[in-house]
Amino acid sequence: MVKSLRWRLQIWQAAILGLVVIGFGTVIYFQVQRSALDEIDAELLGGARILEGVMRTMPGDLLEHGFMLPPRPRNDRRPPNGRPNPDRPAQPRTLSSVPEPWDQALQLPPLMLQPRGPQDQLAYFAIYSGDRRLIKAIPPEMASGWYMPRQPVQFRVVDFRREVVLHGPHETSIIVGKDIRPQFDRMRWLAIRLALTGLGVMGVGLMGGWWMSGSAIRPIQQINQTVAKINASNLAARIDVQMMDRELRDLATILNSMWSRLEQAFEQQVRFTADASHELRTPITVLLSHAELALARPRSASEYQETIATSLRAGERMKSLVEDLLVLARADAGKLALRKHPVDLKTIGEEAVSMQIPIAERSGVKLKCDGQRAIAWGDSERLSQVATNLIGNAIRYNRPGGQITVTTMASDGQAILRVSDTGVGISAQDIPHLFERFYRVDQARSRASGGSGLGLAICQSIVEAHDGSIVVQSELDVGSVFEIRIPQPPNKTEINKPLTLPGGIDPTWH
Amino acid sequence: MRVLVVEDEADLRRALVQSLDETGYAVDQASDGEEGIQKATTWDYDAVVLDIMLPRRNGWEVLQTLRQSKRTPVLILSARDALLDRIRGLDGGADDYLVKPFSFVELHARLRALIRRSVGQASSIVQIGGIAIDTTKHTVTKDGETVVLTPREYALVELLALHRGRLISRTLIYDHIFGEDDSSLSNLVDVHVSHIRKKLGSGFISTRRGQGYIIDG
Repeated sequence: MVKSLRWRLQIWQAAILGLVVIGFGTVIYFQVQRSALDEIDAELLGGARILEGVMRTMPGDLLEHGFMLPPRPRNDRRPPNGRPNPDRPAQPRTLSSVPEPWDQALQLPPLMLQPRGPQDQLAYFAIYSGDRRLIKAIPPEMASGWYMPRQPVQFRVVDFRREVVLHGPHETSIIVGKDIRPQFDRMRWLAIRLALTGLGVMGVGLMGGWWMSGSAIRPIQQINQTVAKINASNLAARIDVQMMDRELRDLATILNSMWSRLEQAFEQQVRFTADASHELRTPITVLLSHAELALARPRSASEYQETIATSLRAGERMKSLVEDLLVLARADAGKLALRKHPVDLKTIGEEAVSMQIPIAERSGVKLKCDGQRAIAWGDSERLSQVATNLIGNAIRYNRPGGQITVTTMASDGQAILRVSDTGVGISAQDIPHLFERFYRVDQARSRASGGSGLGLAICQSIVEAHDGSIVVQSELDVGSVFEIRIPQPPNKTEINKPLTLPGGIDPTWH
Repeated sequence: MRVLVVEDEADLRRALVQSLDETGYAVDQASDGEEGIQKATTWDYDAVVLDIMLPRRNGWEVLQTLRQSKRTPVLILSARDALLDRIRGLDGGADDYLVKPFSFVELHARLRALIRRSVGQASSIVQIGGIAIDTTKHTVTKDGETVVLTPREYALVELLALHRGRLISRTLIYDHIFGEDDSSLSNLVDVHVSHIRKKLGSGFISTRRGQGYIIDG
């Protein structure tokens, strides 16, 4: 499941969405809480400031003696200046029942501290003297005890009560507080609502994400299905790129063109195999038919001799064909084990020419070599094969009285061997196919003279294995020029070294 | 029976010609498509053995040209074994398709069948009175006894037997019994006929003076 792209996208999306929702909810929660507290604080501080202002207008002793003293109930036996007994708190009294004349002044803050809503609690206040005595508390039971703030104004939370404590005049401390349990409840509700909303948002987001990732993956699935349909025997299937988005369309187009190339390569391979088997069939047919014929009835010695000679020719042809196929197969696999060393194309050209002069003479063709020193970095045996092949073709596609010239030269870091003939030439429509395997310009001429149709393909493979190039220029009835270019040895000093070392191995290069 | 072999591969052509010749066919040969067309359209061969990959004119062209004028049975002998090639060959007017490498035994059997069908004879044994001609074994029996004939005599008997009831002219006999390389003397057919009459009975072959010979069915 984790390996599925869709699921991974989904999980990442869930994680990110979850973080966003949680973060957002948390911010909202604390923001709401903060503003609720700020409101309460402002209210409490406002009350406290008014109280403070009222108290400031009173002289200290009045505060001590008048304001501080609770109105004496009828049954109170205590002296008027007696301390309030902490064990016996003053009896609850409503504000309106405060008889003292300046009690009126205190009406304003309590009014201010009236509940704001149905669930809001009544605020309370308490005033303590510097010696920790309760001077006044309304309602008295809410007084939580003396406290002297470290700063002039301090907010605190005590048992679900929000309080503001400030320094009053005459060393007093004024505490104004409020029960904030309703606010707590409201915040809890807010938290629950936020969590539920968050979950809803998550749910919708994840569903949307699932749908989106699904629609993003659908073209990939289409590609998958097409790929599944494609195999060696059926390379014809293609992805329909019409409906695809740009990114995937690019991929699909690349895949399609890759398949097209693959299909082409496969077709070439199939054709090549068919051609190769066809080429092999001919000598095999000759061999089998002559053997069958010879065995059909008793023959004379000369007849047997002829059968054996024919079989030998057929065998030779098969052998050379198989060898050619092997060279091509090796070249295709990049395993044409070249033993590279500095070789002079001039020497190679001269040797090939001297070997083929008898054949050329038999065809009435003049063959000569006219070369300059051209050191190539290559395998002398393979390059000789190329030269022999090119010269052989030049003889084969020539006319009596024709000429073949092999020239060699070095130029631009490359050694060049050129075979020019005054032969029949090659038509423009044949030239592009010239290096194709089993391509024959003239079936009769080539096969009759023992050509397999692989010669130029092999030349090309060998030259390309040398990182060189082979090109042809030709005009019908005028002649053809084949030119191979092989890179020179990588280091210039190599040119001055002995051309061939034992085993063809150059110690400086291994 | 006279057969044309169109094959560019010299060694193979030689084997084909020799084998067919030894079997008793009169054999002509052509080494390219052009020559093949020229010969096949000039003579009435009993069968043509045709290669496809031919120089100058390929086998398809030879077949096409031949079919414009003649119904000669054609056996394609090709190294191309692809299904499409075989279909193309048969649809193009060939009567049979044999893939190289082949066996002469099969080639001969197919040629016999081809020639038999072309004259409307389904069986390989032709029975005329007490004389039976086995076109497979190239033997002739008279009342169960085997009669020894030379290849040329057999070929003549077979030709007349396959076309029984029809008058066969002397030139036609020449064309079908002798290949292009055979030296043919003008009275050679008469010599063969008299030999056959000696072996199979004088009434077996009737002479229509000035016209030719006939085996009455």
